[in-house]
Amino acid sequence: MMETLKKLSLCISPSGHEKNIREIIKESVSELADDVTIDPLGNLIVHKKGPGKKIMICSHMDEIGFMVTFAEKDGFLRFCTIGGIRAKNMVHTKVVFQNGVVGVIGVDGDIKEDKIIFEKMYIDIGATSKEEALSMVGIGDVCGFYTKFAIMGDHICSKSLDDRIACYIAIETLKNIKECPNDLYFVFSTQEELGMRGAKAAAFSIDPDMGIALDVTNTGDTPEAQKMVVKLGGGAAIKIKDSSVLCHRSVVEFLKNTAKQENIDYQLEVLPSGGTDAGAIHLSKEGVPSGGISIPCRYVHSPSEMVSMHDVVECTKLLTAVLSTEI
Amino acid sequence: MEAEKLIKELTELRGISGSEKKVADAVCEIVRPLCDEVYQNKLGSVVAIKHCGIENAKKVMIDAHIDEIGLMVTDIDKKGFVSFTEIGGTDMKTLLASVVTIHGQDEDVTGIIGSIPPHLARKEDETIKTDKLAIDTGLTYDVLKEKIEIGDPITFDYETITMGNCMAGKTMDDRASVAAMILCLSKLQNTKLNVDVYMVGAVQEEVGLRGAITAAYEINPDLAIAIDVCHAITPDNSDNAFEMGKGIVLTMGPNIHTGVYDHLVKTAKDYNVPYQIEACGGDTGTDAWGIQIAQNGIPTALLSLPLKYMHSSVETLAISDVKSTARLLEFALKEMSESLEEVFSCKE
Amino acid sequence: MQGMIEELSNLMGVSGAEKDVRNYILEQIKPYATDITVDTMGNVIAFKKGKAGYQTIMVSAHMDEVGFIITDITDKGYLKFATVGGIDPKILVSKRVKVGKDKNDGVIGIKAIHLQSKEEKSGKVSLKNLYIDIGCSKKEEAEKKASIGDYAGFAPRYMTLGNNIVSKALDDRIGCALLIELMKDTYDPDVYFCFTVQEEVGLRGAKVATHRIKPDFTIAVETTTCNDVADAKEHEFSTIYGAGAVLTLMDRSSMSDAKMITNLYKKAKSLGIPVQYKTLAKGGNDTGAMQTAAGGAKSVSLSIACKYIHSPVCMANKEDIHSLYSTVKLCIKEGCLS
Repeated sequence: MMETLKKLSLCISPSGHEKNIREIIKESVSELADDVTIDPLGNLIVHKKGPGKKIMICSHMDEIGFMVTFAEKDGFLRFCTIGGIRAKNMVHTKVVFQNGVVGVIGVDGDIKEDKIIFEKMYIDIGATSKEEALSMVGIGDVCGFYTKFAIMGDHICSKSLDDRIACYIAIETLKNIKECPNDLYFVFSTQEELGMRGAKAAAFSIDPDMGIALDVTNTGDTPEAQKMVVKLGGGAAIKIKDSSVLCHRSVVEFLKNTAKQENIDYQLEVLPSGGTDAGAIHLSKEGVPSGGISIPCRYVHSPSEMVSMHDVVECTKLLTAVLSTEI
Repeated sequence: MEAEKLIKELTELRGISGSEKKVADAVCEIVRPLCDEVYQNKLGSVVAIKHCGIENAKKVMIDAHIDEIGLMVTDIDKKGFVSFTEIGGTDMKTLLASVVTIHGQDEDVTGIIGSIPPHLARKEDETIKTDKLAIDTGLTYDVLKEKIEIGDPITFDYETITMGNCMAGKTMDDRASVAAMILCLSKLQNTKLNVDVYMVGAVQEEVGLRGAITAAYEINPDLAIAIDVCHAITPDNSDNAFEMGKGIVLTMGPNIHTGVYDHLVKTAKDYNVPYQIEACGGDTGTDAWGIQIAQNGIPTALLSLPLKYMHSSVETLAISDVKSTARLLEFALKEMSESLEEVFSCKE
Repeated sequence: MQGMIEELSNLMGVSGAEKDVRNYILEQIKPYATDITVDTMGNVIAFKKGKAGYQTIMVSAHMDEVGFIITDITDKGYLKFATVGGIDPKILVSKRVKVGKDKNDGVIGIKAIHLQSKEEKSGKVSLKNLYIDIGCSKKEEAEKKASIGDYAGFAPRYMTLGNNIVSKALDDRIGCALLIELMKDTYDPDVYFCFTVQEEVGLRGAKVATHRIKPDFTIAVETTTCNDVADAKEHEFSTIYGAGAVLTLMDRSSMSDAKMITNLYKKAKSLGIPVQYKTLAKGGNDTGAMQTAAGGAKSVSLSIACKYIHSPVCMANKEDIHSLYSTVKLCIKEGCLS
C-alpha cells in the first residue's frame, strides 16, 4: 500500500504533461474496470459499468511544477510556473525533471528578500554553458519537486499528495467495490491545477447524473492558522463549499447520512478559497448535482504536504459506501 | 397583482446562493397559476413555461436571479460565538451591528454581529477583518450545537419598507426583478403570444452566474433577456450610475445582441416606457454574460433596475422602475412575431 | 497578402461590432468554402470538406480589435468612454480615434505638460480623467455626431517601414489574412476556418464556435507580445522579433498539446522554416476556450511576434508573416497528431 502511494506521489507529471502518471495509474486499474479510455486532453476515464445512474468520480493526476522557457549563456535556466506556487517558498528548493536531471532554484543576486518573484529566479542544473544546459534539458521540459517520501507515524509527508492521495483513494475504492448499482466513471483528470480544464472536458463527454470530486483541503489545526474546523485525524472531510462550488445540498446530505450509517469518521469542510474539479463538473451542460470528499492536508502546494492515513482510510470507506448505494 | 406587495413578499424570503430551496418553492407557487408548467431544475433554478400553442415555437428566456448574498457558519466556539464566511460579495461594514438569522436544519436562530463600542475602539480597529467578527445568539455552546452546524446558511434579518415612492430592503438585488417578471406574466395571462416564454428564477448568480449558465444550456432559447440591478446615483457617487425613477436601464456593448436591444428600444418608444441607456465594454457582471455563450451562443439583452446602496440591507429603488420593467417586458413579448424576424433581420 | 493585411487592419471592428471586417472576409472567402455559417454572435465559420477517414481541424483567427465604447456625453460636448479589451490608459494620451458608424474624427488629449502635477507627469493616468474630443462645445452639438453605446477605435494609419509593417489591429487581422490565404489550398481533413468575434473581451466567440463544431484538433493563429525592446533582458523578451513563427508552449489560458507542439517545432526546423518558442507564460488567446469547450480537443497556438501590441502602432516583420503562414499550413497538413 505504501509502495503504491510512494510511486504515485513521487512521479513527475505537472499539468499538461501527465503521461508518466497516467501509465502508472492505468496499470493499477486496467484489471478492475470494464473500459479504459484516454480522451483528447489526456484524461484517463475508467468505466465500471452498472445498471443505474451515472456518477463521475474525479481525482486529478496533474501536479504543480515548472517549465523551462529559456537557457542563459552561462547555463542557468529560466522557467515559468505551472499552477499556483509562492515564489518565496521556492528559494533553494531542489527540482527533478522527467528525464531524471536534478536542479536547484536560485534567486538573482540583486533582489531584496521581500521582492522575490519568479521572473528573478532560475534553475541551476550544474551546466556551465547554454549548449551544455540544452543537452541535458530542452525548452518546454517540465520538472517537479525533488523530495523524499516520509512516513511519520500515522502521517505521510511528501510532494503532490495534492492530488495523488485522491488517485490512491480512487484506485483502492475500485479494488474494494463489490456491488455496483450505479454506472461509475472514475476520471483521473488532467490540468486541474491550471483551472480544472480536464474535468470540464470529461464532464461534457460523460454527462453524469452526479459528480464527486476527490481532492485535498486545508486544515485549521496549525499555530495561528486561518480559521477552519477541518483537522488532520478528524476523518473524511465532506465538502460544503469551496470557491468554485456550493455543493448540492442533496449530495452533502447523502454523504453525511452514509457516513453516519456506516460509522465513518467525518468532518465538514467549508473552504473559503481554493477550487476543485467539482467546480467544473457541476456547471457542465444543464448542471450536475455535485459534492466532494476531501482529504485534510497541511502545507498544500509545498514539497512537504502532510496527511493522516486515518483520514485516507475513512475517505476510502466513505467513497466505497457511497458508490455502492443506488442513487 | 400588486407591485408593492409582491416586492415585499419576494425580498423578505430567505435564500443565499446555494440554499435557495425555500425561495424557489415560494416562487413556484406564485407563478403556477400564470403558466403551463413550472419546475426546479438540476441546480435548483425555477423554470416556468408559458406555451403559445404554436408548434415548434421560438423560445424566449427571461431571467432574474433568486439568490441573495449572505454568510455561512464555519465554527461555533466554546463560548457560543458563531464564526462565518461570506457567500457573495458583502461590504464588511454593513455587517457591524446587524441582525442575522442562522438557518439550522429544523429551526432558525436569531443573532447579532456585534461591534466594538466607539469608546473602546482603537485605531487598529478601523479596518476589521471578517474573520475577527462573530455572531452572538445569546445561547450557550451546548444549546447552540443542537440547533445549528457548520455549513448552515445565514441571512440578514430585515423587513422591506416603503418610503414614499421607494422601497428599501435586503434583497432588491434581484428579487425586485423577479417581481417584474411575475408582474409581466400576470399581465399576459389572457394574451395569445407568438413565442414560448421561459421564465427563469436562476440560482447562484452572486457566486458566478451558475444557475443562468446551466439553465440557458438546458433551455437553449432563441433569445434571452436578463434582468438585474445597476447602481443609482447617490450624493457621493454619480460615476457608472443612473437616476432612480427615470426608467429601466438598457445596456449596449459586446455582451448584448443589437437585434434584441433594438427591439427593446423600439418597444419602449412605441409604448412610452421610460428608459435610460448604458454602454458596457465587456463583462456586464450579470447573468447576461453567462447566458450569451451557452450552447452555440444565445442572442442576449440586459435590463437593469437602478438601485441605491447595492449589497446592503437597505437596498433602495423606485417602485415605478419595477413597474416600467414589467411593462416593457410585457410589450416586448407581445410584439415578437412567430419568426422573430424583426429581431434578427438587422444582423450586426 | 500584404495588401489584404492593410485593407483588413484599416477596417474598424471593435469587439462586439465586427460587421465591416466580417463583410470583407465573407467577400474574400466565398469562392473557397464548401459552406459558410454566420452564427448569432457573428462568428464566420467557413467549412472546407476534406476526404473520408480524416479527422476534423478547427483553425481560428479573431476579427475583433481592442477599442472603446462611448458611455456618456458631457454638457460641454466631450465623450466619456470605457475600453473594450485590454488597453493601458497611459498610451491613449495624444491619440486619434474614429467614432461611431460614420467614423467621425476624435482626439484624446490631456492637459498640457506645463499644467501637470508631479504625479501626472510620471505617467499616472486614469480612464476616468480621459475624454474624446470631437470638436463640439455643447452636448446637443455632440449628440448629432455620437451616441452612448457607439464604438470607437484607433484611427487607421497603415505604414511600411523597411521590412516591417506598422498599423492598428495587426492583432489579429494578420491572422485573418493568413486564414483567407490558407483557404485557397485543399486539405485531406475536414477543416473549419473560423473568424471569431470577441476574443479581446474573453475568448467569447471561440467558445460557442467550438461547441458547434466539436473538432478533434484546434489551431489558433494569433499575434503575441514581443518585448524585444531597448531595456529588457533577453529572457524577458517573450519572443524575438524577426526570429520566425512563434509556437506557444504555455500561456495564461492554455497549455499547447505537448506532443503536437514539439513535433511541429522539429518538423518546421527540418524544413528550414524559422520557428521559436514563446518564453513567457503570459497572455491568452482563443485556444483557452477551444481546448475545453466541447469534450476537449488537442490544441496548439501559433503566432507572430508583434511589438507594441494593443496600441495604434503595432509592428510586425514581413518575414515572420511568411514563416507563420508556412508553419500553420504544415500543422494542418502534417502536424495534427493523435
